[in-house]
Amino acid sequence: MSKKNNLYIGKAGQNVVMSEFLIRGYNAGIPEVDVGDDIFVVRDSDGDLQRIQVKTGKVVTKRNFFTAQFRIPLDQLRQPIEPQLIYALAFRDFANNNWQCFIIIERSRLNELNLINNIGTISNNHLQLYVRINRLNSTVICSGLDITEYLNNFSKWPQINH
Amino acid sequence: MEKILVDVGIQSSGRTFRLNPKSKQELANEFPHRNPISSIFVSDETKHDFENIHGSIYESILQILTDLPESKLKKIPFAIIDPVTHTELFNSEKPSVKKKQLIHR
Repeated sequence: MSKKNNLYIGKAGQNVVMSEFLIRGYNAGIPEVDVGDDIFVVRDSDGDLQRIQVKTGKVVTKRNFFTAQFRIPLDQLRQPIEPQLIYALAFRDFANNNWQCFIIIERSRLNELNLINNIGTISNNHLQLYVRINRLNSTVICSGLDITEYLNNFSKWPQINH
Repeated sequence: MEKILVDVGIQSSGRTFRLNPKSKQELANEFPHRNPISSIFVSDETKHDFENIHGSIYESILQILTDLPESKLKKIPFAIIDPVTHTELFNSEKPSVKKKQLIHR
């Protein structure tokens, strides 16, 4: 896949995640310069801000499960900067032309899972995640670890009705 | 426990401190009945005001992050480290490091 095509896919992932926040009643914006954060999510009532980094993975479908891979820069992962950065891993299924699901996980939690539970593999100063989702029971496994609790976990953003 | 490591993120208006995940796990194993907090942001202004009256703020930050009393913490050395650059901002065994780093930041 060409670099240019990756830009289109990345942008598509960013927009689909942004639409999820908008439909939940949160304001969302994209920084003018792309140097880390993909989306700023703001609760209009009090200005509460969340920073979202979207990573898009291409779904590979097997019989009873599908997989996708994601790469996260280690320098970004290790940072303890506030407000907390949240990763949104978007699973794009090109064969069926749809978005299969999202993994929503705080940076500090993913950092802990890597340092304590050895989730993912380190390569070229990046954390590589190979995520496998069972199509029958929707369990999510990464490096042998069950991370199902992060599947489509938008619970930090309860619906706001304006 | 040999040493507590605290990760720090330098921001434009202050610093965010959190326990290094490995230290967090060691503390959880050794002192299970605590209510530690995940991270704390200290603005430069707060740090300046606090240190003018009480001296170094790092011991107090460590107490909040670990939820351990001063008496226990005194027995365990600790260091504050930038986890990206691996720069040591403070080391209780080498307190002079603190001054040196602060001048450059």
